[in-house]
Amino acid sequence: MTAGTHTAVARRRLRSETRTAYLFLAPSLLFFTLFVAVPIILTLFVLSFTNFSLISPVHFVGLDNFKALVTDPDFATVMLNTLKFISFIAPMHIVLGLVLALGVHAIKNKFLAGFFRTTFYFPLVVTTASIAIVWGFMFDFHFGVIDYYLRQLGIPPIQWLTSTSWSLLTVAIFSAWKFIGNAFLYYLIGLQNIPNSYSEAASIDGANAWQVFFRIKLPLLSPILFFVITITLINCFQMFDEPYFLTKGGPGVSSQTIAMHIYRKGFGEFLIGYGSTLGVVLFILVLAVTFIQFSLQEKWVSYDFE
Amino acid sequence: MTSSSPPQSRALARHAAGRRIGAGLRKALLLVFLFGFAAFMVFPFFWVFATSLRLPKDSFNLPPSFFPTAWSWSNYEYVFTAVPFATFIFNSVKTTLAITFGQLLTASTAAYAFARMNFKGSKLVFVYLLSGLMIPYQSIIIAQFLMISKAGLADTHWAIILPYLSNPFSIFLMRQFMQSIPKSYDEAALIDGANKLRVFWHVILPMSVPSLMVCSFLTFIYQWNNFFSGLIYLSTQVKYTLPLGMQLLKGYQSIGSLSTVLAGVMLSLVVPALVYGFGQKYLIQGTVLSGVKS
Repeated sequence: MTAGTHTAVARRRLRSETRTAYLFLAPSLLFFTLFVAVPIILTLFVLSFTNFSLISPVHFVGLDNFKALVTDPDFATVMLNTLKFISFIAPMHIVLGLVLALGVHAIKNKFLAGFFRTTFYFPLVVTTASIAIVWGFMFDFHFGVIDYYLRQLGIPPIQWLTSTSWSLLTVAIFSAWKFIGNAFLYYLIGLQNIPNSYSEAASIDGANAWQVFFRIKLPLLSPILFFVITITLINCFQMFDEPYFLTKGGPGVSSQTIAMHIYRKGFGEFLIGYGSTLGVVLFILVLAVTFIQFSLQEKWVSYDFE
Repeated sequence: MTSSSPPQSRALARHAAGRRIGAGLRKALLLVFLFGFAAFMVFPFFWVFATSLRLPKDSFNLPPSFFPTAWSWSNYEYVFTAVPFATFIFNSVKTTLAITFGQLLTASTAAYAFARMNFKGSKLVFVYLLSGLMIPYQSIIIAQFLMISKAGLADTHWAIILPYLSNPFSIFLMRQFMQSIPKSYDEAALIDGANKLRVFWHVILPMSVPSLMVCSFLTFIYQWNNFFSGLIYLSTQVKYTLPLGMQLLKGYQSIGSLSTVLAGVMLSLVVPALVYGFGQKYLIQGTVLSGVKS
């Protein structure tokens, strides 16, 4: 057999394997292209540059929608709200989640550790729509559990859901309660992956508990810490259910998020062009965090597990 | 320790005992903290259960109870007559299972191609499909809604099923898993004359069951709780899935029965609780894998 026929056979085999491979890929490619890729391309390059709405004929309006972000008085509030959500929820997940994981990791009793793990994780599994109803009732000013106990303690009750100064914090408390199990679990698994011999060796050398934590455990946990920061940020950007159920983003726009703003503009006011522009903003935020994660990962994070 | 031992070692013993007491105290404090936080995590569930069993006329009464003070199970029956609750459950089961099984099929075949075949554009297609991980659903919802309405699929269950049939995370996870299966298994089958489809179906898929379970449980819980796409696409009440139905049921608070609403909440927690009970292992594995690898 000559080299020529050899490569011809190889080429033919590659071609037939390519055909088979694309048959296997076809379902995923079809659904992804139709329902995700085409919509994001439409959003990024077409809709966000139009004045598409139900009332006016469609025109390309250049960067008008992006200029409108500046003049939309609610947009600045919504962005600020996102920052506020992050500044409350991120420490909860990043620090409190770690403290809980360290605590549960220190429990030797298997049953007790399992009990805590289930208790902290379970809210994550339950339907947000249902459990948000519960918190909505508990935060109620008139018959709510929480204000009842505040009154009993002689503390003036708080308008958790109906005052502009509290609504955002209320939504943030609910969100932190619902999702802290996620960060907790990442940390817990990370801690379990650190060989005991590391901290034992350090203790024998005279390191105290704090030194073991800061010099050994924390550096080894850094990939997980980093991941928890990233998903917390992305989840805060995309937050929709929690404000929708508890406050509908209100009163006013005091607890509204970007995702809710997209919904309100696109489906409430039928501003399809401007709503898509808000979609672009959300996309860029998520993309930016993802890229920052990728590029910083190597510098910050130590991966020497094995 | 006897009194005859040298003073040095006595001091050491006292120090050790002190440390032991310190350790005991620390452990007690840790348990107090963990139990306190656990109470914060579970007290809403206790309140729901206790209140769901109160007589409707007492349901708003204070003080609240965290353990049942009455046992009116009739609230639970009333949930089904107040709103078409059984229909909501059926719709949720239907759409959730359709998505779960549908994405198992699309993801496993794609993962097989990536894990086992050499073909032109393999890397590019992989990046293309995985880019879905970075696209927030709310960013594309307006454009997707326009397309789905144009196709005449708005207000049908197709509208909430089809967009989720391609799942980048499942593809990624299954590919990782399939790559760890030794190549000798498929080579043996290929030599026996099986084609790629048979190898996939009879060899690789059965061996990939653990990864399929992880993907199924994650997708099931996500979709069972999915409110957003139903909110966008479903407008006819009898097509509502459970999360939308819960919003409808919540309206019953206004006719003066908190207990009926909370009985509905209790019922809506049954499926996630069962899934968690049976699939805890897989859910946790999936969560971990999503963390470790992204």
